[in-house]
Order: sequence, then structure tokens, then C-alpha cells
Amino acid sequence: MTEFDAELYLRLAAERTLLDAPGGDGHAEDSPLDVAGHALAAVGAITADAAQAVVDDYDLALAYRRGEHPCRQLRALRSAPAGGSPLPSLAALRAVPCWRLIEQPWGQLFLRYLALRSGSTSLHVEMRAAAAPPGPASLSTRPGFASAVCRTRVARPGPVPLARVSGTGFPQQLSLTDDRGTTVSAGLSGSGNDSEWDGEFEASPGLAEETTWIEVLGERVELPAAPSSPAEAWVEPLGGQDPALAYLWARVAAMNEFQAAPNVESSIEALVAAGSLAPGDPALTEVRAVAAQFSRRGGRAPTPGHPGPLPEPWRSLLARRGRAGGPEGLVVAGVTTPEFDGITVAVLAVRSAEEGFSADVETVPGLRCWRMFRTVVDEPILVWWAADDRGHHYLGQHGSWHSGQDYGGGQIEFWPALDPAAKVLDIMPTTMAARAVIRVPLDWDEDR
Amino acid sequence: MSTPWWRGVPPAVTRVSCDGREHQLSWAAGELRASGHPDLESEKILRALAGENYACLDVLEAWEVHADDLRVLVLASRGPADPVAVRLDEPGPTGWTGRTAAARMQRRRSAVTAVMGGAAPASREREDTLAVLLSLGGPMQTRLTATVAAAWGERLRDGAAPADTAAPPADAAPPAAVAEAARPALHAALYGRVVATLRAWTGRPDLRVSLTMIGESDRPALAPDGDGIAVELPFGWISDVWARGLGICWDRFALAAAPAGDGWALSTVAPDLGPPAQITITGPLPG
Repeated sequence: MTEFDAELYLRLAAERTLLDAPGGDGHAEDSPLDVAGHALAAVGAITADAAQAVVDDYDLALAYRRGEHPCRQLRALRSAPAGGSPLPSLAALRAVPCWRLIEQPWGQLFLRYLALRSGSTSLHVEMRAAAAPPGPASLSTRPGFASAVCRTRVARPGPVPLARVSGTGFPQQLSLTDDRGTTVSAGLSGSGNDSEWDGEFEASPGLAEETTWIEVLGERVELPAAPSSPAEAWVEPLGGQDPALAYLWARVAAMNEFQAAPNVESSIEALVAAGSLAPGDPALTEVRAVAAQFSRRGGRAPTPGHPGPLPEPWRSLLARRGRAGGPEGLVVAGVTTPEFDGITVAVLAVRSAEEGFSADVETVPGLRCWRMFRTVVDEPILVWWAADDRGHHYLGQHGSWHSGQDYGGGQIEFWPALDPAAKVLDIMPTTMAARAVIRVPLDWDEDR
Repeated sequence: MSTPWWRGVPPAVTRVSCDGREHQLSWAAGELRASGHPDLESEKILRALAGENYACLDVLEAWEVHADDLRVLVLASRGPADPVAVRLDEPGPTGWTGRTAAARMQRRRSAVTAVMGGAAPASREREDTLAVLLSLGGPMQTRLTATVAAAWGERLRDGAAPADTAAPPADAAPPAAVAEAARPALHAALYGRVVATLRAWTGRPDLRVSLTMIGESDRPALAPDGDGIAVELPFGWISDVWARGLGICWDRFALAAAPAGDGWALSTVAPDLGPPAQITITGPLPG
């Protein structure tokens, strides 16, 4: 039997892509080449560097055929090569709710919570411009899901004292003072539009981590002590799984529901060709069935050969898709996981609304939203599962997100809506080898 | 004596904007020449010392640099049905290289370094110069592909470095290992060109092709494979057949080509995919 040559497999797949649809829209979703490269690298059939080199070359070949100016910066965004200096872990942090609405001439500033770390401070806020009509649309002190329209996370640097208001009305900088008399200037980032902004003011270096109050725009905000039911985090190894099947399930979970199921099929083909999976493995039928039902592309695809119910947690998860009725509120967590599979995650807060819930998170290293960087095949898949104490499962996807090589952060948006009767939520960022569990008691707005 | 790889590959000409004028670059007998620059060595020194830009010289140097660059086989056209139109950065007054003063100074430093010490270009620069070569158009892409294919064909045959390349550095991998490591890329390069040719020949743009890359001295073959075609060819098919424009002759697919007097003896397969038959062609080959 001929030994499987993963590089040759990838290159032949790339040649077929090139010859079949050189002028096609290569940006609609991951190309079969990217998907196959990622799968083969994940199961160790090829090194990530070798797979990436093939993908890069053929991406350039496709760009030439589409008449595009090739954009090569993605290669520069790749992770640092092994052997480089280790990335600093996420430090422990203190996150405390603020619950303060500050009226300003430009509008309303609602202080949600403050995250204090060694070296930086971030004040998480929601802002509404004064021109916004009064009534239900005005900010309340019970913030739910931010109604951000702009999905791009934008930084607005620029030093000014106290506060500098942009042309569209929102301050780009705020001065923050702690109980030691330290004052820092914090710059705005986040997402929103001219009438609403959901984001954070961040300063580095920051305020004293143990400060008992902060002063913002002339108002002193007392900070509560530790919550009565603190969030906690731990790590669990995931042993005993077949690596190829574990990869496939992760691939399905990381799928955008508006992606086509054939992306999963490209992974299956590559793993079967590599000998990592038997073509008749009954688990493949389940994977295909779940992927077909998960994908909303072109309606429900038939799932031949899978007569029974879908495996859990997919069956109950998909059955509850679109369900609303979640509680409205915010829980400040402020917990950092131990390192798992080279990743550290911090969950700052959980926000729930009628139609879903989200978590404000940070990661080290800077895991990118995989679908946004389609040529990065050496990025590990991190799946954001969650489960409540009522036995329900939830799946998260990147919302507003920013990332560099050594740090990333933003919102993970989970579906379906949280069960209002749930008292505890486990957020479980999961790789193929391990998962972290961040247990958050759902004491909504407990410190108000 | 073996047939030179370039025999039967028709000459080709392209034009470039060089030093404010339009110059002609011509390829013939395996060599790219710049007729507008009769004293190349002097002009290279002048360019290095004065920091002048001569697009013709840039192209000639790039051709040498990429003469065995496997990425040429990935990026360049697989045939007439696969046009590759490379867009370069906005050209300056002297062609692609006339950009900013800073770029000119950088070029001057690089050129002086190259003249004095023969430094290899950085990878990004290498990428840019390859784009310049691909921008010369389909006929030149074919000849560059043939050049690269011939270099690697020789490595595969001999397990040694091509004769027209400099001696490898002492710490370089053995040539046989280099050729072996390149085998997936060579196989894929052959596959793409064979599939493009077979699809054009059959008129079936979705034709499924199974290719086995055989040794250079093995006998090529072609046979039906379900609703597709299974074909066994050596990597040398690219320079022997494809680059000479002999892939499809008289509505037959050519498996191999060998010189026969003033013409070529081709081992070909008819559209009914029957056993190979030899045909002989004379006169100028298609360009």
C-alpha cells in the first residue's frame, strides 16, 4: 500500500481548485484546500508550516487568476514559530461591577464593570448619544444585550485630559482616578454607531488593583468587595478521543451556521485519505447529519444513512435553536483559567438578554476568529461550549473580536437563549486535547 | 547527445518599459536576452553605482533567480484555458521599479551588495520579481515554466543539481534529497498541466483524471478509468511535450515526444483512448 503523502494530497486538491473554479468567489467561505490543510495538520499528517506553505502558494495562484492584488499580510499574522520566547499568560484579574449612569452633555455613560489587572485597567461601558430619543431606548441600569450595529471593533486612541468628545459625540478618552491618587487616561475601543457605543476604556499602565473606588467624570464610584458567589475555573483533559473524530466534531462546532456543510465534507475526505478515519466509520454518519442540520445554507440537507436521533448535545441544542426568553442582566465573573493546551482564557462578564447571551473574554495567545483568516491553517480550533445546571447546552461564536499575536479578546455570543431558571453556567472553551471550565453563578446584577 | 530541452520551443518576444523607452526582450534557445542593452555588464555596474533602474536588467536577473523556482510551477499558467494576468504595483516613470526615492536608495544598496558580494535577494523581493516575470504574459510564462521544469527534470533524472546552476553551498542538502523533497510539488505541477490538456482535448471541463508520475525512462500510458482517464507520465512531459505545444496534435493526445530528423516523433493516443500510435510531424511547432 502506498504511503499517504499529505503534501501531495494538498497540492493535488489545490490543482483541482485552480482548474475547476479559478475565478470563483474565494472569500465566501473556507476553501476546500484550507479545510483539508487544517484537518491534516490537526491530526499530524503534515506539519502546520508545510501545509501553510502550500495554502499560501495556491492562494497567490488563485489571486493572480482572479486579477486581484495578492494580499500577503496574512502570512505575517501567523503565530510565532516554535522556539520563540514564550507568551506571557493572562494574569489574574479583579473584575467588579460599577452600575453607575452618568449624564453628560453629549449623552449617557453607563459604567458596567471595571477590570483591574497588573499593568492595565479597563472600564466596560455603554454609551448613548444625547440625540437619541428618550423613553425605552434610553440606557437603563439593567443593561441587556448591546444593540451594537457595527460589528467591527474600533480603537480610538488620542490623549486628552478628563474626557475628549469625538465629533460624533462619544468621548474617546476618559480620565480614571483611584484611591491612591493615581490618574490614568483610558482610550476607547468597542463597537457601535453614532447613537450607541458598547465598549471599554482601557489604560495601560492602569489603576491600583485593590482600589476601593474610582473617579470618572468627577463622580466617585465605590467598588464592591468580592462577590458572595465567586466564579471559579479549572481545566479538564479530554483523553481517549480518536483525534480525527475529535477534530471533526470540533470542526462542526466551529462552523458558522450559514456555512455550507461541504466544508465538513472536505475535512472528512482529507482524514479518510490520510487513513485517520475509515470511510465506513459510523461516526461519520452522525457528523454529516449534525453538520447538515446545523447548516442553514440552502435549507435542511437530507441526512441519508442516519435513521436515528442526532447525538447529544447536538440533538437538544439544535431543537432549541431560535428559542428566546432569556433573562436580562449582567454577571461580573473576573476569572482566569489555568493554561490548557497552550491557551489561557479570562471571562470578565456574562451578559444575557431575551434572544441569547454573551461573554466578554480575553485569550492568550491571540486566537483569531478562524473564519476571518481563511488562510491560517495552523490555528487551533477553540470551541466555545457552555452548559447550565438545568442540563442545557449552548454554543458560542465570535461576536465583536480583536486579536493580535499574543492576545485576543471580545464577545463570544452563545445560542440559544439562556434558560431563565438556570442558576449556574459553565463556559467551556474546548480544544481537541483539553477544556477549561469557567463556572459562573448567575446572580444577576447581585451587586446593584 | 541528448536533445536540448529548449529545442522546438518557439522563440518569443515581449516588451517592457525601460528607462523611459520601450525595450524588447526576446527568448530563444533557452535564453532570455535584452536587445536594447548590448553591453550588459557595464550597464549592471552603472546601475549599481548610480542607483538607476533598468527594467530589462531586472527581468534578466529575475529570470536567472527563478530558473529553478518551484513556485513558478504553482503560479504560472497551466495552458491556454488558464490565463494568468498578474497586476503589478502602479508603474513608475521607468517601469515597475521606478517608485519612491527611498525605494531607489534601497535598490542602490541592494544592487551594490549584489555586485560586490552576490547576496541573495530577500524572500519578499524574490516574490516581487517572480510577479514581474509572470506579468510578461502567457508565452513568457510558458518558457519560464519550461526552464524550471527542465532544471527539475534533470535533477530527477540524475539526482544531481542542474548543470546551469551554481555549485550548492557546503551545508546544502544533497541534490537527490532536494529532488525527493520536491516530488509532491513536481507531481502536482505535472497533474495540473496534464489535466488542463486532457480537458481541452476531450472538451470535458469536469474530466476526472488520475495521474501516476512515472520515472523519466518508464513507458507512458493512458487508459479509460471509469468516466475519467488514468494516465501515467514522467515529469519530463512538461518540458518535452507541454512546453513545446505538442500536448494535442491532430486531435490526439501526446504521451511523449522525441526528435526525428527535422521534426518530432510523437507517441499519441486517439480520442477513442486506444493503444498509443506514433506520428511524426515536421515544420515549425505551434507557439
